[in-house]
Amino acid sequence: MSLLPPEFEACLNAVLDSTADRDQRAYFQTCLRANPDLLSAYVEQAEIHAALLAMSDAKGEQEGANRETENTRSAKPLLFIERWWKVAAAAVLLLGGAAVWQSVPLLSGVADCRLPTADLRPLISVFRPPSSDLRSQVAASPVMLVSQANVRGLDVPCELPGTLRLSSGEVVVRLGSGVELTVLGPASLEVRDVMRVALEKGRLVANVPRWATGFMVRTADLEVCDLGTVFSVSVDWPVCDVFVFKGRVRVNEAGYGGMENATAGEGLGICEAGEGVRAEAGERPVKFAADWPAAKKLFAAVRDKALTEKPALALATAERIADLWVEATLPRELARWEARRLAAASAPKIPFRKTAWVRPSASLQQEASNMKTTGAAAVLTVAAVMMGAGPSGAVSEPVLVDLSPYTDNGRWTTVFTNAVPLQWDWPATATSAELNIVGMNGSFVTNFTTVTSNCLWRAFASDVPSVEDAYALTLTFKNSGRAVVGALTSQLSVVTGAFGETPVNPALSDPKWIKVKDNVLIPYDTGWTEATAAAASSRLVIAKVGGAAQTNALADAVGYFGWKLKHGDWGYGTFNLTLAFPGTVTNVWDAALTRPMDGTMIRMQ
Amino acid sequence: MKKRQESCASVTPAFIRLMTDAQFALFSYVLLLVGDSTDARDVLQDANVVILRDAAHFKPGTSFIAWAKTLAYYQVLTYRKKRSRDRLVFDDEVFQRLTENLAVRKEQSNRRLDAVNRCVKKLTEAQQALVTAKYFERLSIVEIAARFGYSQAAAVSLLYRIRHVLGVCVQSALKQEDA
Repeated sequence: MSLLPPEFEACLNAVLDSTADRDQRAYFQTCLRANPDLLSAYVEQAEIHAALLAMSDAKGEQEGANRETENTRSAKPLLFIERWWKVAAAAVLLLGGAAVWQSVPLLSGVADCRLPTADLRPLISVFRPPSSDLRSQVAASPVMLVSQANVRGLDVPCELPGTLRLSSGEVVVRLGSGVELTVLGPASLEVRDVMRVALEKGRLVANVPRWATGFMVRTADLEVCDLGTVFSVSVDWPVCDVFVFKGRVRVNEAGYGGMENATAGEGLGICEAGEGVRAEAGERPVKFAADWPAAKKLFAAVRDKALTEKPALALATAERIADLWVEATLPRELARWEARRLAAASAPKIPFRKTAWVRPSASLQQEASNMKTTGAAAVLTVAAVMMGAGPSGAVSEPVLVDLSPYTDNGRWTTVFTNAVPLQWDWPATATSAELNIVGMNGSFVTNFTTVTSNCLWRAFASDVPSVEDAYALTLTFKNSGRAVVGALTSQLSVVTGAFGETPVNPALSDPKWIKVKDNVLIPYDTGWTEATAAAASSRLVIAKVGGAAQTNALADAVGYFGWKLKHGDWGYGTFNLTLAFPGTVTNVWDAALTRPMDGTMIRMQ
Repeated sequence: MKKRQESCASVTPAFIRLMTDAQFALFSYVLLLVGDSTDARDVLQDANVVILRDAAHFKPGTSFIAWAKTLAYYQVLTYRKKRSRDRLVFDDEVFQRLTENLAVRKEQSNRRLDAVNRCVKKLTEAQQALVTAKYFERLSIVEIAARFGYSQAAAVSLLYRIRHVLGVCVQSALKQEDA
């Protein structure tokens, strides 16, 4: 090997690992541009990296398959089977099947439950049906039985959606997404599709492979969205517990409605390993953590055995930790909630102000491929001219509403004009959609009843925004039966600095510098320092001196946090802000902010 | 609708087999052009959807990988358009050079993957332990450094060298097979 430039190896490694920051990427490409040998070195390194990742993926699947005791396996190594279900799903969509997930055939022995996508079997032909009678019975099911112990009264669904029932004992089942569920009876589990289940009663441990991130478990009280993890959920009315053994999950209060058309419940935050949520019917759920010595010891004893060895013990331990936590801290928490509730009730109500409008452009019945390219651009241009958007008719770059609400929503788009074109792909199964845009200074909802792939949104009334804002866009698609068939999200920031010149006032005494009278848009970026560049998420703590503190777990590495200060519940006073990036060194960014009656004063430290 | 029906009829078991067998070659190709492993996986998924959609256009008897790579290439271009410039690993110039470089390289076949597998077994125990930690346990560099008692720079450097050793070994193995 020839002598490499300093830091080249580190930059290459970071690039391949998806952890490179802007500087590393820039340096890396400078190296490649300057020296053809380094380009060849990159190609060699990336090829081996790809091969090792492929081997690793294959091994992971093979190990999963090994757990099927009576399976025979293909001698051929698996290649990228981890993603087969997505490929299969795409094929099903092409076939026009509405029941995307249930139509993924897992087993070659498909019989009664065979669905129209049997042609896809070769993709996943490494799985073989178990041989015993019971297993033969469930072999044709989209819910595959992996193992069982002391089982009585087992009913495995033959098609999805369906309900798995278990009177007693313990079963391990695998869904078509690769998610493995250990279910302990008595239990009743509705398997909606391979990515969503509802636990009506009983206990389960979910082992979610990273490619099935977004897998969701719903109970009457909670909604758990996996972010790559092993976690447990138990429902023993009136108590429902969630506990994370590995990785992390996002937990929300369950919204209203069934799983298909549920409204979003209030977010309870992200739980990491050793953390959980307990919900008791009629009470507000509480988040807890095994963060005191006795609980740490309990957790350490089961954390690696949750799935493989003693799931029942792991679940019992998780419940024990929750019990201990509740006994020790709940009275204090209840007092805090009551104070917050009273404060919120006495706060003045904000009159709704609709600061934005929306109008769908001409209905586009064309295929999705037409929507995204010149056709859409032409429609947008016409729409912009017709509506006289902006002083010069200019619009921002099209904003794609194309992210999954079930995974980290890590991309932000900054608006440069008041007219913002939004674009999305309309699912084949949808007949209507609802676009919901929520910001600090206003929000609105609009509906589309015909196939529409874009619209123009005016984010603010004047040419230059008077206030900054962060908007969350959610597009919910429904079919003719009003059932939700998909959702897409996006995030937008309106930053005044993006509109022309930004005044810089070095003198702290200058009133323009120190007074901000509206809500606060706080940017965060793990790439600000090298030490935090590898972080995948951020955390912003807002603590009022002598008052409440709020910890905001931000799922993104880069983005904006909209702090609703105006008309919020925070009142006036001094606030300490701490921005940290979990998983990296303890670097934090501090800011102190004083909000006097006539405006907000920010002092950066 | 007609187009969709044509695509469905073309997604035969044989087509799916070709597609499955081509996954490593496609992933390798996309990763080289994208740089970022996570993004490469997403681009590959988009490419798979397009491959299935356009199955009717594939002519049996011609090279499936060459056809699929063309579709994957367009998906990479789409990804580059969507992604803001400062988040791309490669600017247009470097991307162009990579495209040219890859155009003259041999396909990444499953035979090559088997060769990597064999070469990994020829590594020293310490090297195999590092490969296991990095790729099979998916540890970060920080965690690897802590486990083996290296500095982070040393861990990065060792992994770089291991990949280089594997690259040389694979070339040699494939050359011997071809001879």
